[in-house]
This record gives sequence, structure tokens and C-alpha cells, in this order.
Amino acid sequence: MDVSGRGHYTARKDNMSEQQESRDQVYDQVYAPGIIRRYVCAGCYGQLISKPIKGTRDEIVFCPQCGEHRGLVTRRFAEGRKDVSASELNEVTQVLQKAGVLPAPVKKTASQLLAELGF
Amino acid sequence: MPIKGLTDRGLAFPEIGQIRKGAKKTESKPGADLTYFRVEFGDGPADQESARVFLATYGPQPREIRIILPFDEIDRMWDAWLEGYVAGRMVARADGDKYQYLVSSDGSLVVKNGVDVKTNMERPYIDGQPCYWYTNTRGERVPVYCKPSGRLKVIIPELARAAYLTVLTTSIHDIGNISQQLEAFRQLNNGRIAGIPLVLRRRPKAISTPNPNDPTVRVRRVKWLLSIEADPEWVKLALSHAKKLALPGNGLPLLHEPDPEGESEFDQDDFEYDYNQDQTTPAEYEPESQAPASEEPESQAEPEPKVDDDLTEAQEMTSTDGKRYGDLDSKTLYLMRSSIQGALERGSIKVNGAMRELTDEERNLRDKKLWAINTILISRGEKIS
Repeated sequence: MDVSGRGHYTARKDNMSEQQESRDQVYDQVYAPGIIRRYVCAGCYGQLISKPIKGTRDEIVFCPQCGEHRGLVTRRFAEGRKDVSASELNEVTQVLQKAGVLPAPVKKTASQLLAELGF
Repeated sequence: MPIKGLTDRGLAFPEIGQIRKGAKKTESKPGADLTYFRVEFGDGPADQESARVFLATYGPQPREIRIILPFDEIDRMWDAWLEGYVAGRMVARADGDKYQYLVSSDGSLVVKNGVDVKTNMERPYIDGQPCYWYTNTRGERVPVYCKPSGRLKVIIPELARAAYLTVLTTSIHDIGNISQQLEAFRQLNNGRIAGIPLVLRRRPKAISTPNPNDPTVRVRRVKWLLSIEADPEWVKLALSHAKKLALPGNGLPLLHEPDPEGESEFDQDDFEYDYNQDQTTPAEYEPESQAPASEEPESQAEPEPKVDDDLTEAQEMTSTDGKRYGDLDSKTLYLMRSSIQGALERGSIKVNGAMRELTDEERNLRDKKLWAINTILISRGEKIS
């Protein structure tokens, strides 16, 4: 069975290009929950939702923040990106400080630190 | 649920915008190619402030943007794949040789991390063969083909933020160009490219394109391709630094130089020994030996070799694992030379177990490497067949 459900989707303009058609995030109602479970929004990595298309067995899967055509990425990919992002930030911050783009960290003396802590 | 603009996908090092080559796509067709960059920023307040700073610095239609690359490792910031998309999600990704990721038409995963999930073997990618099929609104089966896709993460220094923009391209010329240029910068700078001030430019170039009226015919058209170039000031400093390092004593004077403006404290007669000639002294002059009779006189210093710019350049080239050619022993250089010569004679290289023809760029790079190795070996007095 074609998971994209296009064979049942008739509520679109007939003159729409196949390129445009292939971008629509439309899935058969049987497969849409699985897509929502396995994928997140490519724009914000947020949770996807779906709405049925009247008169068909299809549903549009989309992000409530980013809209219908932002794209989908696997949840695993999004989580992998978040895991490495913190270490990337450390590395990039050092690169940018060395390049003079970001200010170098200000070294505080012991007395300044103690004063900040309220001693 | 993340809030747009405030959570930035929950990433500590976030993407705040995209740099594109074409106009915005319409309902029925993709956007036209532009001669400048179209830069889009996110909707959050910080991203909009960055957009304002960018506009003030570069204007609405920039043809060149100063960038910094975030990492030394190219594959952490540059992605170039053949990808197929359906219904907003990626269904296939290939490297030109095999599939890295593939989903079948029934939604099941076929290839993951370059390996077929059932057979545990590689699945070859064949150019021109569909990677996926879907059924359109008329009930027809439509093939989906993989298309080239390049994404480069860049930091714009004027924004003063630890955040990147993604440069997007689907041109095979751009992808080849950027891959070569990044590798060249990495080799010329001893494996380091993070933090180097670079300039991302659009340059017009005549390339072969299919004729829209007759796909069997190709015509040459001017397209505005991407190019990454080093900042000229940085290049000047880097070359002078490399030259200084290559000089004996790091460019510091080793011998006393006569004072051009006043009388020298030494008498001219004291400089009768010409270091550029051989060791024999003229018959009319015999230097007074200060050493005791029982000791051997100190040997004269060997004349310093003249620094050759070509040799410096050859020595500064680095191998794929980042080692300077000048630091490698002659035996290793001979082995490398043999390998490169073999590839050039065959005109092909082995990639993932299969032979592939060398591209022009690969051939040029190997020629340059061969020249560097020969230059160093000759300077060491080694024989070159």
C-alpha cells in the first residue's frame, strides 16, 4: 500500500506540478500516526499534528508553529543534533573568541568572586 | 512544545538563518536563480536583530559575505549528498556510490547507516534509477530521483553570535567547487580552517546546462556559482608567516651584518673568508688559529643554503592526515610518490572497493602533490626516476 496516500487525494488543483505535489505532507490515515510518532518538524524539531482532508482517507501532517511545508526529520536525528549541540557551542565559542568575534572571557580575581558571592 | 524563535530547536549552537541562491519558490515552480544571495533569518527577536545588523552591513542583495567556518573537520559543517524527498521527508540519501539511507514505498526502512537492514550489505546507488515511487492524484506511479544537495554551516562575524547560517545549493558545480576549496584551505593551513576569515562570493561562470527546449542538447550558460575565498589580508599574513618559519633561524640574522651608515667595528680585512665558495683558503692568507696545538681547530660552518620559495611551498603541503611533507622521511615520500604516480597513470582511484575515474580536480591535486614530493626529494639529494 502506498504510505503517502496520494492515490486517494483528490482535493488539490489538477494543474499542480508534481514537484509541488511531492512536497505536500500528506499521508494515508493509517500511516499518519506512525509518521507523527517517528518524525518531528524540520524547522523547530517540534511535535507534529495531523488534520484529515475532507472527502478522502488522507491526513495532512504539519507543525503548528512552522506550517505545512517546512519538512520532517526523524526524531532520532533531532535528538542526535541536540546531544552534540552543547559541545559544538563550547568549541565554536573558543574559535570565535580566538578570531576576535566574541569577547574573551573576563578573568575575575578571588576578591571579586567572593564579593559576588556575598562574602 | 518549543516556541519558535525562543528555543531554536533546543540547540545550544543554533541555526538562525539560511543563505540561498534562488528566489522564493512559487506554487507551481521553483524560484529563479539570482545573481546575489537571498538571506532569510528566523522569526525570533534575536534573529530579527541579527537580520537588521546583516542588512545594515551587506544591504539587501549581497554578492559577497564574510564568513568564518565553525570547525576544522570539513564533514562537521559541510554536507553534500544525493537526496530524494517525498511528502516533506527524506526517503533516500546516497553518496553517489551507495545508499546511506533508504525508505521503501511501503514506509519500511531499507538502508540505514549505509547498510541494508536485512542483508547487512551495502546497497549500490545507480545514477538515473528512481530511489522511490509514489502514486499521484491521477493514480499514476511517479518515480522520485535523488538530486544533489549541499549544505554548509557558516558563521557571519558581524553578527557576533555563536550561531550559524546554512548555505544551501543544489548545483553539482557548487558542490564540487566548495569541497575542493575547503580541502585546499585545510591542506594549506595544516589541517586548520576554523576561524580563518573567508569570503563567500557568487561568481559568474559559463557552464554546460541542458537546453529546456531540447533536453538532448546542452548549451553553455552563465551561472552565478558559489566560491569560498580567503580574506586577502589573512593570505598575506599567512604567507609571510610560512616564509618566516621556513627561513633558517626563523628570519633572525645569524651573522653580524655590517653597519651601512657608519664605520664598522670590524676591519674589512677580517671578512676575507667567502662562505659562498669552497673551504680552501687563498694561499696568501692563513688564518691565525687560536686553538691550543693539541686541539683540532673548529670546523668552519657550512654555507647556508639559499631558501627556495618553491621548496618552502612544497614542504608546507600536508598529507591527508595533516602531516607536513617537509617533516616526512624520504622513504615515506617515495611510497607516496609511487602511489600518486600509479593513480595518475591509471587515471583512476579505488573508492569503497570500486575503481573510479579521476576528475580533473583530483588529477590536478595529485599533480601538485607529486611536484611537491619531487621538489623535496631533489632538495635532499635523492634520486628521481
